[in-house]
Amino acid sequence: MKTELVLLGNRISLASRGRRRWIVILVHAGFVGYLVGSWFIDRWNVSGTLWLPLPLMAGACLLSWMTGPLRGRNSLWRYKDPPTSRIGKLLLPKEPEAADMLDERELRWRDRAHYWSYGVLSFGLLMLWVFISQQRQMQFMERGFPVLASRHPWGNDNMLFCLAACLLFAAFTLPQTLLLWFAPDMEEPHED
Amino acid sequence: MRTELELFGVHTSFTSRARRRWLVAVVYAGFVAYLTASWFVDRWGFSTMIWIPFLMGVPALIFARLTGRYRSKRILWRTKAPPKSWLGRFLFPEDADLRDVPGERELRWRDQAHFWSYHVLNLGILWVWILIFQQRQTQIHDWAWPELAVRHPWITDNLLFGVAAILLFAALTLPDSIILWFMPDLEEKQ
Repeated sequence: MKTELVLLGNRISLASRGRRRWIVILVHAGFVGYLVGSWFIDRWNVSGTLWLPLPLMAGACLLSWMTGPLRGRNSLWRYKDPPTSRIGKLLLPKEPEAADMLDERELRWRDRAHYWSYGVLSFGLLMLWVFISQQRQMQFMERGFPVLASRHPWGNDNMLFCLAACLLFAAFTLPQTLLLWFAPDMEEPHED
Repeated sequence: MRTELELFGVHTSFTSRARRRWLVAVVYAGFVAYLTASWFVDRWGFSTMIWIPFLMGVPALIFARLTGRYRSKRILWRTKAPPKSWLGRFLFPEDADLRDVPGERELRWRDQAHFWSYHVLNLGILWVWILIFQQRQTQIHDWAWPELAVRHPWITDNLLFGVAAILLFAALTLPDSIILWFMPDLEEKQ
């Protein structure tokens, strides 16, 4: 976990858990704010499709960068023997730096955060499935029972879109969010 | 991890890793076969709407039963102090049976299985997102794949449905499958 964030030349200490939680809240509130704002601007048309990856990736990159070596390719460096396959040699360095490798405690934090995030993601997928099923069912009903179909407000394209956007954002940010939220206060780095 | 599964009165031993791997392979192949067959029967119409929840739920329950303590409410029993709130007392038993509490090694397996599964789900969700994006922005679809859009206007709808079905199935079964697949041979229950 990084203890300092350099943003446009300014150094922000992240040692305090309170400050990390504020950043997490701001990132998530910013994404929700963007979704709400863009709905009123053009009903998630251009703003929802062309520009949405921007706040999504900005939030994900910021949180990923803050959690640092807990997430990312460095976590793959924990192997016992050097890679022998072609893909293994391409993906993993032959001699990883010991400083880049995660210790047991950090691995446990990382895996536990993914465990909890997995539950949230599964629930979101279930909702997505219900919406997609309803959307399809509507198509069948419109053919068979047009009167019934007109009474059901389900299968809404906008709801589906919004749910998918939130799910994607959660998929990119949730483990980092949990790590940043629950990791206790850290020591400030000492300058020698 | 359970070493035995009782189904309709028949006891099946699952101490062997090979047998567990067969079960995982058969369940996944069965699900893909059902999706393929139901496409040819009614283009994922009523065959998927009515039966697919059973096809997802039953394997998920069998896997969860086999992995036992890894995926159940019992995991939540690892509380340091007895719950005080009304909701806490309702959800968690006051005196958890110590035999039901997973050990550190078991928790490590569980968390690691979820770590790897999470990345698979991420990729799937990204794909769902792309499909919904396509569905919504037909002009972008036309611009990117004009031949495909003209010849197969229904392709996105069906792909979205298929991917969402596979993804939900993976969400329900993947961590258990990973545990069942990689856990080494166990000792027979005495």
